[in-house]
Amino acid sequence: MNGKKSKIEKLAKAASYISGFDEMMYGGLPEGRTTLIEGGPGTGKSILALEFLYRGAMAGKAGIFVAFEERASAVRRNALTLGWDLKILEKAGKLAIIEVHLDPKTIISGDFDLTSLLAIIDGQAKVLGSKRIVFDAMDILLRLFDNISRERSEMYALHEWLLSREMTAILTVKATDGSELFRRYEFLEFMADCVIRLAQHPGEWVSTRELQVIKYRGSDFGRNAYPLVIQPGGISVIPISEVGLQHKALGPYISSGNPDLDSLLGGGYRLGSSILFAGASGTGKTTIANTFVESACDRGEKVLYLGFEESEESMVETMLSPGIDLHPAVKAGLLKIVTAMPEAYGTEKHLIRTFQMIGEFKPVHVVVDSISSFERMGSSRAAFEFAMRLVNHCKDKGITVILLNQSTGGTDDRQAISGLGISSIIDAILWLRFVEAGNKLKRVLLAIKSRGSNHSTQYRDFRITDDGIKLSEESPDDGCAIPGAAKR
Amino acid sequence: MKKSEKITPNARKKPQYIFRLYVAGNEPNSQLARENLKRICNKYLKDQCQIEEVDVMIDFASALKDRIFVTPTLILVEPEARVIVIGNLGDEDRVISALRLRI
Repeated sequence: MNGKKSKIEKLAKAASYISGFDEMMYGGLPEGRTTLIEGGPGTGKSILALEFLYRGAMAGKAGIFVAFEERASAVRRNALTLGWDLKILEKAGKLAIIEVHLDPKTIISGDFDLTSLLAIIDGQAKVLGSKRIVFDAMDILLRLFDNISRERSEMYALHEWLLSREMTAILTVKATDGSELFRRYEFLEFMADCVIRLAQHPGEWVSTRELQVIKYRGSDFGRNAYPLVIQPGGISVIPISEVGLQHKALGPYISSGNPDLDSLLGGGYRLGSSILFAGASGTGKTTIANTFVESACDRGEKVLYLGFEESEESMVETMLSPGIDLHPAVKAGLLKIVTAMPEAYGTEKHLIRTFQMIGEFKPVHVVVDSISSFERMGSSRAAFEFAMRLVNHCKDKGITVILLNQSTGGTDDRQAISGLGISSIIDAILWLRFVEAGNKLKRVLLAIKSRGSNHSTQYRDFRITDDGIKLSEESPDDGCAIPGAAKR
Repeated sequence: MKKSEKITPNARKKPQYIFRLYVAGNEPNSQLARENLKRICNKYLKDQCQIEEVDVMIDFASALKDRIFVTPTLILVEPEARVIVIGNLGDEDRVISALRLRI
């Protein structure tokens, strides 16, 4: 169909510089070609498209954002919430936002076309020297024609125009699989060289977004649906290797070091899984982690403990109080405790050091105490990147990874529960809380998630004694251990 | 201000209708719009109209400033209130109603 351009040559890629995205796209978007991003409302289409331009502009490649739905001021405002100052880029001539709105009182009489819009874009592209362009909410523009065959002919004309100018283009279309709009715009999938589908799956605790490439003419690409996270700083796509978390069978049950906790989890932790302990300071995250460390080392399994909160001596000393003695494991060379200040290096360097240690020490389990300490580096993105890539690395190697995440102590602290947004790649989550009971404060524990296990869904009282941790029995009446819990 | 071509059927009389027509060179729809507008002017507004033409292919800056994204686009600038009609103006009935020219 696009016979004019069918020269056989190596497909050039336009890097998006979006975390994890280029990796799964084997380099980026097809350069000089058109990419379609489709998905329902709130799936992150516009942000993904805008980030392509934003990061490109930061790297010196100018771009044009054509907004058919949102006002330019809204685009700028939304970008600011992610920490992107578009105005600076606009002033520097690296970005232009063209807001396309038709006066609602406009009267239509006879045929028309988009020549004027294209002339404007042409003019702007020449001024900026731009080869990157986004048409955001293409469906809104197409609706103007109110005629399916005119929609198509205008789209094909636009596509030809983009090709002739060697523009690397993104079109976003609001369409969910199977909907009427989706079928109406299905021809765009045939037209575009690359098609990316975004979806959102609302969960009980956290909703997860997913990105899937369904077509990439002339290039290989990762074929899974990958978790996509939007947070201050921008998008991260989690490029789980083809071995895939979702498809990888979990290992056998291993004891948490406490029989009560094992039964609450439906048998214990799973070998090679990723586990998150979330809770405020002092709720007992480190104690639960070291209960496991002690028992693992007893079984002769090596543990690498990455401490970012306190020194080795201080941690080992503190653990003696709930009756956990880590000295023998350290002496036997089964437990390696490595402490560092998160502020000491950048995320990348921390990761490289950690990967090196994993390679040399070959642990069966890794504990990170805590990922939240990375926020002290000034961004939750740093913490997220570290956790996400460490989990991915450990998953690949079949290593159990336990992440501790300190919450600020709110009663519904979704950020902590979701573990900085990585919950989609976490297999089990334990949530630790302080609650008021009469005139006392007590600890409670809830297993929010334990993939592949029939875990308890009740809050349990949880005590730290001289002889380790103790959990209350599961109450038969499904009663609430804490006020308000039934509402959840 | 605009790089445009002024067509005043009768320069001596004070024009009461000011139109601005955005076209894309000599593309078929633009050509049609020109002809249709001229015909309508002659028929309903003899010696009363002034047509200012903007070619977006030459003057994209005006198109951007005036937020004109499709061609052809006709704007009735005066008398108030402003009317915007897009398309080749082929539907005369619709156009004259829109321009409040129906008697």
